[in-house]
Amino acid sequence: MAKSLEILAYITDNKERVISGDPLTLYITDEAEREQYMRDLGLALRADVVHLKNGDHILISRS
Amino acid sequence: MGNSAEKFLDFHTLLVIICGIVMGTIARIITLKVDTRQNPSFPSGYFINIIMGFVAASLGAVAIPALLAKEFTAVTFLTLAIQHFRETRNMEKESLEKLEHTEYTKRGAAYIDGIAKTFESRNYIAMLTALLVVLILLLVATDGILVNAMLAAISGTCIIYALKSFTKGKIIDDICTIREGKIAIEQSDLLVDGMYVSNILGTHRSRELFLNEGVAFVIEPKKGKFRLTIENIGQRQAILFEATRTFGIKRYAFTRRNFKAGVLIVAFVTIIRDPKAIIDVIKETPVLENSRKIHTIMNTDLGGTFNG
Repeated sequence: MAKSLEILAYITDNKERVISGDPLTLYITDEAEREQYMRDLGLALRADVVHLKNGDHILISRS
Repeated sequence: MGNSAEKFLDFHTLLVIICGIVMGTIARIITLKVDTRQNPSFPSGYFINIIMGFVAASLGAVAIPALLAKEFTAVTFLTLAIQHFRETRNMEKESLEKLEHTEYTKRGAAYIDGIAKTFESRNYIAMLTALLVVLILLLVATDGILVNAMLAAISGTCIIYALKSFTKGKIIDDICTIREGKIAIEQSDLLVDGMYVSNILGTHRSRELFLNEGVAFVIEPKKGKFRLTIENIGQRQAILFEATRTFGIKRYAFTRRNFKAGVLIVAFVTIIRDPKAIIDVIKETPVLENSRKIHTIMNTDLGGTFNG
């Protein structure tokens, strides 16, 4: 049952949380654009989306 | 001519052996179940197992007549048979392991091991039934086809019943109560009956999908000690596997333990949405030998130390 988790992308509307490195961090402020982006990425990468309590999202893949 | 005549079996011995083989094969057929689990698969897997049962019964049936004919090497046939059945177990195990990636969720190593062991033990049931039926018929030593056939049927049925009862495992329904849980979503948290399950429903679409099409079940052990069994990783995997294999899965499959309430939660988005039928399938999931804790043995003070 133990699965390996990988964070594929971090999506935030706070510029201060955008840092370089792995995983990819995206700065998107528009709510609708962010929703569409997450859906497209989630489908393409077969990833799940976690909505953090601070409002940011992370895309994770479980294999 | 005299020597060649000795090579042939007398009619009574032949009759006894045939009765043994028939009862042994029937034992294997009775223990073959075709249900929602569909294991073995039908018709090829089913046929293979009947033939295996026939071979096992044949080996069991000839063992005692061979010993009576002072063919003591016949015992080695039994050891060969055991070796062969163990090979069958490994084959079954390998086959199921290779199919893991084709299923909705994985069976898990514990469940596969349990299935493989069951397949092996059922061949022994066929072999033992044949052996014991032949023994009884030889001890009674009566002539007549009908009398021998009836005696074989009665003794065989009793032996099959006894062996089946001995090897019968428990199912989830014996140790747990299962009810459908109420799904709720708070932000991206999935809650079942107010208990947290997962937080990966981060998009509107995923939340709507789970709310509209998801199913959730709360499995509560009837006694505190059964928590050890249902909280076992292998057992949880087996429950999830049975539920998702029978009704399909669109997306998401979760099992979550809630330590405070002492329950197990199973939730997924199913293809065929029939909660009552899913509960029935979960109830029929076998309790795995690996996860089952027998408290009478656990409480026994036999001395020794931990880990042997």
